[in-house]
Amino acid sequence: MTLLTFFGCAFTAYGPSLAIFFGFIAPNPQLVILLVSSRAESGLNMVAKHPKSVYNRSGYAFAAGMGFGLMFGIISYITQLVQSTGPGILMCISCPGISLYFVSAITTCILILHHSVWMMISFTGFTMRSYPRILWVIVSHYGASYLTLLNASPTVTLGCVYSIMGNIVLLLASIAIVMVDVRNLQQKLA
Amino acid sequence: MKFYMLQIYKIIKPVVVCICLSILWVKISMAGSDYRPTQSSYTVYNESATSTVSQNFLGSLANAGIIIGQIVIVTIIIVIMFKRGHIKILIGFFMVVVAMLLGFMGYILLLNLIQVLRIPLDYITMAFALWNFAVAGLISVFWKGPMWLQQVYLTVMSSLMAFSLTGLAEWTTWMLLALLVVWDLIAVLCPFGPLKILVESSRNQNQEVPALLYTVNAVWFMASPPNSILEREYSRSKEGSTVRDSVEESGDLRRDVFNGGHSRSTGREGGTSISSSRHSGLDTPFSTGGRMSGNSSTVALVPTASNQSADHGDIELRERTPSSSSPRSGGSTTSDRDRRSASVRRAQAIEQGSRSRPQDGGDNDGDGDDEDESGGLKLGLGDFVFYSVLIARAAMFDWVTTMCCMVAVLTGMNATIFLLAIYQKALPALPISICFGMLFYFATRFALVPFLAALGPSQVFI
Amino acid sequence: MDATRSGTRRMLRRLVMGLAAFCTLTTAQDSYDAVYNDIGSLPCVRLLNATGAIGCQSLNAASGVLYRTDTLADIQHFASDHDLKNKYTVVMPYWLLTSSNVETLRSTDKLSAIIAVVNGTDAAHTVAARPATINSPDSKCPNCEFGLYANTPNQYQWNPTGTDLLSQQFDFPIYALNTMDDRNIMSYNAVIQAVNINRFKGYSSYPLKSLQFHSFMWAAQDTGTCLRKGWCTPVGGASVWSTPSLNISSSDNKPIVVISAAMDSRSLFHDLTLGVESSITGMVTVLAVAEALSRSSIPLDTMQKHILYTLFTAEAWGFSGSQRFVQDISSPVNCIKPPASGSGCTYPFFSDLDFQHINPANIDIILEAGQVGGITSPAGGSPTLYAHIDNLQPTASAALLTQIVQVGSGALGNTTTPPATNAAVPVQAANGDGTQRGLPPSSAMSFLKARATIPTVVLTDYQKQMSSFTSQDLDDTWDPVNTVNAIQQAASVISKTAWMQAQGVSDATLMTPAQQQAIGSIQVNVQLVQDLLLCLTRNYSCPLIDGYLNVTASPSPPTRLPHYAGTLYSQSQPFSIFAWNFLANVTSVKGVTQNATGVPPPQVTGCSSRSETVQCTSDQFCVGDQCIQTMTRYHDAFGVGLGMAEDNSYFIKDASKPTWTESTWDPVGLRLFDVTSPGSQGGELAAGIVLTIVSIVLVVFGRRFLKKTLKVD
Repeated sequence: MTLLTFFGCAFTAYGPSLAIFFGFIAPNPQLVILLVSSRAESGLNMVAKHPKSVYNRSGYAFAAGMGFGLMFGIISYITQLVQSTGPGILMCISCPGISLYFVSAITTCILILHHSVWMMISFTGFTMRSYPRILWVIVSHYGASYLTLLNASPTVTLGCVYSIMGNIVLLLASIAIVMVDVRNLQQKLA
Repeated sequence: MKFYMLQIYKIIKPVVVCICLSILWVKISMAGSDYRPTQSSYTVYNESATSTVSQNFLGSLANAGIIIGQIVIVTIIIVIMFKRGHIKILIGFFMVVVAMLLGFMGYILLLNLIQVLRIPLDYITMAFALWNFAVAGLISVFWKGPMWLQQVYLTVMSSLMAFSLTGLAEWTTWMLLALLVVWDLIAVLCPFGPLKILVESSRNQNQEVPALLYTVNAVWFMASPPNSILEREYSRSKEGSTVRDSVEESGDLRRDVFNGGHSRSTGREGGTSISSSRHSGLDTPFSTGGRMSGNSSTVALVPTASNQSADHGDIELRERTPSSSSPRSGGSTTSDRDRRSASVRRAQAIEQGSRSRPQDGGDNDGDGDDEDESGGLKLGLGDFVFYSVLIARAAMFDWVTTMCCMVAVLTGMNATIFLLAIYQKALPALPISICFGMLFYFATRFALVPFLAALGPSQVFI
Repeated sequence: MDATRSGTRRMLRRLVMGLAAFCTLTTAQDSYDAVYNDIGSLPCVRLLNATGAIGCQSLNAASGVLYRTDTLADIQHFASDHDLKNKYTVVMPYWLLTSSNVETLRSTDKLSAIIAVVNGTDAAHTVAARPATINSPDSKCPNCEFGLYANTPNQYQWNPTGTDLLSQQFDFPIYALNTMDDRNIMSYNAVIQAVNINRFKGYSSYPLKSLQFHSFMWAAQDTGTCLRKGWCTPVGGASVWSTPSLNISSSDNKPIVVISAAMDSRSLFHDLTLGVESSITGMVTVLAVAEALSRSSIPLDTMQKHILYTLFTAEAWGFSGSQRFVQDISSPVNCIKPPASGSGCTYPFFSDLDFQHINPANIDIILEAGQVGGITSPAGGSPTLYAHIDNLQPTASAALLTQIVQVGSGALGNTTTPPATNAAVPVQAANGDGTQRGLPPSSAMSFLKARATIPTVVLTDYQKQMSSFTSQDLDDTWDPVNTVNAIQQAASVISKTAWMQAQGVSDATLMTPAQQQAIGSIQVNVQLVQDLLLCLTRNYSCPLIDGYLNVTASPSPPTRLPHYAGTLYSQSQPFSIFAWNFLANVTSVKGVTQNATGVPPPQVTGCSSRSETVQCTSDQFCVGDQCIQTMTRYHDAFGVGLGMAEDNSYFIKDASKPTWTESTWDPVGLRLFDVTSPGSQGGELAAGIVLTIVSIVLVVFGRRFLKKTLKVD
């Protein structure tokens, strides 16, 4: 019976990120390599299909971020995931109706996606020397992590809901920033 | 260069499969079975929990030194034998060793599975299944068989070998990996290294020995390049050859023999390394996959130490053969640089026993990036084995270390391939990956795992 | 350089996060312990014989939500409740554990395991009070298929209310909860607390507490199969025999008076097996007899007959101990492989060969103490002792029976020290009501199977049927007045009868005045009886045993030890060891070799407390710190249907005889944890799959969008 929990949590935590991986990154070998080892940008530029495309950097940023995010997701969640195959569970302290593993799975999913978006923002930020972006990355990362404290809080009822909602809001905000950047790029091209 | 990207995929896939299999065997055997691999009797120092750090260090250094010594001796013997042309002996020996590996390590693994999963199975069925498994493996590796089957068997053999090496004590394993890195560098890059000599002699003998059909590579590389590449290369090739020839040739060739055996049965001593190179190439058409042309692969077999003599009874199953038998196959990627000369293959010799060779990337021709014809990258089976050993040892600790080391090893492999593309000559495959792997293992184990253990139950994410 | 920038950026982030982490670090906790609570367990294990297996086992780790049933109505409610969707571990009081209840539960398909709460007698830890009437879980005639009357039609059923639960095989775990020591009290509290939480939540409001059992038994089918595969060991132990006649020999033509009892019993949970009524009272009787006779004014080894005390183990498993003893003394030992050193024989294996001095043809009478505790259910009344004789050879034992009744009637004056204050326990012939029932299941049957005409009397506290405490896990208490009285009387009767018989007197009225004077010295020590009862049940580290074995020196002195025979050679045999030491002491000749003046030399002491300097000679033993000479020996006990081969493996010699073996088991474990409902688990799986599918769809749309708008691929 607890294999159900295992698969459920595994799909929840890693499903969207892996879907993105297989959908966007896997078909493009360069991005795979960048995902695994991020220092090869200049080398990869040589072999890119469109070597001069400005979108390349965004692609690389996304892949590098996704790599970082997946590593983060695996490292921080794998122990709990393996433990969920056993018959016993831990309950989330602030939302006693849900198991800890599931709440962690959702948080992991959001944070993995958030990592790749952060990477994209940082790339733009460092390239354009735009300090607001870099600051946003730092602050929102802190914010996301502190929000996860609510998961375990015994005093805030339904803390896990606030934590997940807050994280989703931050994720959407970061995505908005990225879309703005990409739109700028597009306008520059056009 | 783009060619390399595709090839990297093809390399990553079997390496990942082999690694995953090794992790699976390790996790199963750690779930409480009695049939774990154990140390061979060659180790002079047994680790115990109460020894001091320096005792452990020196003792494991001694152990690993002994194993490396065996490897070196076997490599030299293989080089000599190869130079003298006693290929058939080597091949015959390889066949025996592969059979032993599949048979006995397969037996131990099966016992593990049966005990942990509590499968009721009788001896007759098991003997029948194991016999079929071993014989089919021999046939598909040394003779004809579907490409995918050969690939599967090579992967499984690598993972079995890695599983057997997990019987080494912890310090010894890490020492062994470190010494292997050094040996790999020496053997492949230094002018007096045995493997370099092997490569050259295979190159020299190339013309004379078309009959050397042993490919030691992991075949799938050979087969994998898509037809388009094949044709492209084909068209570039000055020598014509028919695809069919190539196919046949590759069919004959492949064999990756590696393995060292630890077969208990042979009780052996020392590893033998065998390398054979294949040259196909020059006068014969390229084998499929392009890579082939003249790739030489060497296989090093090293039956190591297992030494469990054959007269040990079944009870001795527990003692597995030790370490080191790693077959490595030489795989190598090579691309022919010079088709005309036909001998360009870069042979990668695998060293005995443990090491594999690095792959050489072949890149070749200098014509440009998209002219690689040699066929894809070749990675020695020994590389597979030692990557798997490192990750299996990480798997014995925790899942987090497993994942970190896996990424580290794959990253290292990618880096090596890039270097291959840049330097275009045979390179040792182990050093970068193993160094990354070890670094990540120790960093994760001592810093990351306690950190995560503290965070886990409190449900905080960083 | 972008790559390096991203690299530095990453390092920076990591550093920052690390600092953040430091601020939020909580105490490290082992994540396994956070989820699981490992508790101690008292399992029911699997045993096998030639025809099949009994006991409990589970192939996979069974786990179930705790469910409490206190009455039969609760069980029926559980069976008929359709809202229960999970698998359950039913917690029930021990006496609800009957075949029909178990079958009811098993047929619901909702049962994964059973926990039987075997209440102690302490009020702090009781789920419910013990019921007034209980039933014996043994068969209707325990071990009768190996007894004397196995081949006679219409055997008398000595345990007609037996439920035969012990001979059933269960493929799910059944564990017990008890409060006999600290560790078990902790488990008890943890489980009872958890099941009460579940009950409070109505078994429907998850998360609920669940219990998982690891109870994998390696053996299967029957003894033959498991011995062949090496997955089981014979049930057995060490019987003890002792005689004050140091020079007993098989050719001395001196008759032998045998006084015997069983040392072990059985029950469903072998860690709880005490068998106070079933066997301990008999054992205490024989030890008291030996002690009383040792104070005889006429030395025992000068009498006309030898006296032989025998305490057999593994009797609950087809009379294995007594049958093997009789078998070994009846046939000469052909020692194929002599020992490397010392006495005995390597193959066939015997640790010593002194039992060959006992000539079965010389066995003159047998006196056995069976269930003599007067412990009945319902309790009450004062006990009566009954003397049973064989009914196949009615004339053989008639005279002995008469003598027993005579002695028991008190015709020989006050026989206890201190004198009994209550009315003496009456001793009657069991066939006094005209019905010849024959002998109850007893060790004496093994002797009679070899030679049916030996006069034999078995003393018990029942006339028609065995105590319903037979083979019960609840057989762990006794009545301080009735039981002690009954044992005293039984010991007194047996000791006096044996003494008279050893003098050659078979009728009390025919004693000489000197004998009548001397018999007054045979006094049963009441304090000893009380001490023995306590030491053998509740406190093995009592002063009496400590004097022999120095048990209080160990880090955790044992208190309550089970009286299950255990497996041969693989467990310590605390009660055999104590019985050996005790009998050796009371039958010994201390510090022998009287010198010319007739003054016995001082006893050699200090052989165990100062063992480096004081050593006993090779024909002496060190008992209670003294060197003594004694004819007290151990004798291996295991099923006579089994034989031991030269390579120390076992095989079935004769499948029609007892062949009991115990399965090898993986370490048993019990752990407590929370579970969520299957519905919510399915929900998690569905959520995960839906999320993944949605993201795949989004990815596909995203690619198309990107292709269109950004014109990249």
